[in-house]
Amino acid sequence: MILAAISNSDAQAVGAVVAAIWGVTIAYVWILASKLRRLEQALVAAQAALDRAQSTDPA
Amino acid sequence: MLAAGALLVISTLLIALWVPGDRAEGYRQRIFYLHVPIALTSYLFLLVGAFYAARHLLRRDPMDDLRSYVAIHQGVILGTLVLITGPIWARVSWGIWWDWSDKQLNTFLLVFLFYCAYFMLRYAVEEGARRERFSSIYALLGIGMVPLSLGAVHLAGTIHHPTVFHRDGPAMEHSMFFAFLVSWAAFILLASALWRLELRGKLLAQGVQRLQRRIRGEAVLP
Repeated sequence: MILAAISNSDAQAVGAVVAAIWGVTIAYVWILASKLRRLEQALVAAQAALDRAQSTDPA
Repeated sequence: MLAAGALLVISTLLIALWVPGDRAEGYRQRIFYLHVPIALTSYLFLLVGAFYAARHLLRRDPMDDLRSYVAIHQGVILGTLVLITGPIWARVSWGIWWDWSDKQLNTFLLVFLFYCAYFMLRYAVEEGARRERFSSIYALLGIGMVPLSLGAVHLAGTIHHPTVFHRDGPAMEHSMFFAFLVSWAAFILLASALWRLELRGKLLAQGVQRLQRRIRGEAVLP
């Protein structure tokens, strides 16, 4: 009954809006999360490199 | 972040299945519960960006500049969503993708483009106090357009952008207003969570840069 009252173009428009919002949100979260992971790894690597440099520094 | 995601799921279900249909617009009116809260959250984050920009100019704390930058970034991303969802709604309701005579649409586009240019300015200036100062001044300059854009929907007087919120309350059923508020809360929560996440990323990037400079033996500011 409810479905019959919904026109095809209306449902497509609402679907497109929901898909756009969820698509952008998921993509953004994924990009941010992978960037954070990469930065955390880079921070650990940089800290280790600094420790090595300081331990081999004769001064 | 999980709370924001859960509220967004609840909001989507409310909009799709629970909220009563609009007599005039039918099923497509449900876009209102997504498009308007996103637009309001976008304005809110631009205001937050301006707030931190003003605080940065007063206190010269680089952290405030970073908070302002990330808030404006959130505002622009949400603005992009407004500019995607709006034309879809316009196409199905008015039969056109954009109405160049509508003040609300044009002022929103103006605000959006102004804040897009913020990033061009920011990355055109070398990192440091000068860039922070320029960015803060620019962020503050644009904020006058937000109330103008918000008010334009009342000033416009077109049939395309009917006014829903009046001085004596919203012109909609309680259940519709409830769904609208849930959706708005979901987007504010989501944008806040993303703001914190992005800010953490910026701080991590600064930490990595600082360590790399120390490895190269360069002077590092505290």
